[in-house]
Amino acid sequence: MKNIISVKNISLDYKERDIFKKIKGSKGSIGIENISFDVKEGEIFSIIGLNGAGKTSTLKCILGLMKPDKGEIEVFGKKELKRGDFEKVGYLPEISYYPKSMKLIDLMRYYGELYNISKGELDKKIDQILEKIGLISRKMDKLDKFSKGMLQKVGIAQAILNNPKLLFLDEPMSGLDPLARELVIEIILELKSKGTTIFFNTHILEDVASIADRVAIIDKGKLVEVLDMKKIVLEQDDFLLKNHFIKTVSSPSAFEAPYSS
Amino acid sequence: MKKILTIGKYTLKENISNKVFNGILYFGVLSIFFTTLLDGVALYEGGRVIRDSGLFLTEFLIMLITVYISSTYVIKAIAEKSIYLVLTKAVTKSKYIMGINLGIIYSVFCNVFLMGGILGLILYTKGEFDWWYIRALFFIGLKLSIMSSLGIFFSIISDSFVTSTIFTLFSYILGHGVMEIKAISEKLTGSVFQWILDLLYIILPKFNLLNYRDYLEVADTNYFLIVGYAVVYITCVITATNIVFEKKRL
Repeated sequence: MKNIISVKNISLDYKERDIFKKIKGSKGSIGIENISFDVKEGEIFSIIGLNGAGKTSTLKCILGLMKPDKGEIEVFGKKELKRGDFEKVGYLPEISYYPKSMKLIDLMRYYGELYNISKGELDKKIDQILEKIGLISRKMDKLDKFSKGMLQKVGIAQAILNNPKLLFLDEPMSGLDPLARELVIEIILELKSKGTTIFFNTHILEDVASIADRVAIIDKGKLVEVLDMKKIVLEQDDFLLKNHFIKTVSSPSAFEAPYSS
Repeated sequence: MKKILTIGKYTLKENISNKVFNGILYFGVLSIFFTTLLDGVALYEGGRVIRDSGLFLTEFLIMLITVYISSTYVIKAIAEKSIYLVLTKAVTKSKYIMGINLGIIYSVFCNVFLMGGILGLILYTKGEFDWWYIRALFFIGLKLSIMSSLGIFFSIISDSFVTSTIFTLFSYILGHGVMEIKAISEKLTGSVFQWILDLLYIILPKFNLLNYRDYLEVADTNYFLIVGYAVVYITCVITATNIVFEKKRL
């Protein structure tokens, strides 16, 4: 399988921009440091880590929303993702705000038109997706009436509107009840079966363990290791990702762990 | 082009549902109706007083809406990260800025036509409606379109709602005094302040060209110059905005 994403030694500093803090000697903080990994076409690749580990920073660098200070990223075999390539990409941000005064149908039409989906096809597609995620009855409601979990479902709906070839999900299960989480897992697996590559960040390890093909562990801005889940589960019957993760990120030698796959 | 129009359309829709936007607009519409009370106060000139106070209210209140929306829209989108949801849909940063600008300009003209339309009806009943009044509304629309592009520019260079709003308001105020700034600059030969005032004269919008009261008695108005100036100025501001926005870390 060819690589759809290739990340080589990317680093990102969050430089202090506030001039008064700079004068006081604040230098900012390191976001991510020398991260390298590949994502194969058609796989489900997950990044896990503690809060503030660098998961979202990595994802934003790949998406071109942030430029790394060092290193190279290739997506779809290109060094720089051109705007046209985003027609094939879907993205759910970690925290997304939607214009509260807009109706759900208007929001979906807005994003659909930005994806250049034709008007005739768009409404049909919107209905299909909203039906799938259980929001079809709320189509005409304004978003200020939606709960956190419902807004998260809206986020997932807009991310899959264009049948993406590459889907980025940042904390997709955040705010979802167990039934909704099952639904999202179902959607992810269905997309995978259609050839979509899924890249998702999360700190909910049970979800990762059940669906990810490979898992990268990031801690304090550094890549600790990349695990091939299928291989590990075959080799070790009693392997629990959660235990391995806790052991890995608390270990002082965490950064000496080899790049596994 | 299609994406710019799409962003413009939905920015307008979003603005129309905005509570602050609607609040000021309803207040404006009510104020226009209250100007009819001036008819009883102004002897023989009632229609003209209603027209002048109505136009002032139209410009002032829509200016408040324009400054509020343009100087906060992008800052809010960046702070809330909702901008990512647009930029990751094959929309370049420059198209995003142009789309937002277009949406706010649509909102300006919608407001101008709404408040201006109500005032126009009142003036028609008083026999004070004429072609000059339509021109006045058009110039107000152009002036506030320039303000919208400046508001977006300041919102890109600043991370703060307050700073951005203050700079935008100051541009509106100083833009009306560019000729006075020029006159003061001519008296300060050779000093640093002359350079500063000359620079301000160049970069500030020349609202003296768009002051509808100056065209009251003028039969031949060079619309080409006026519209051309507004288009060129807005284009320059949008270009500067795009240059800064390309480099901005979101």
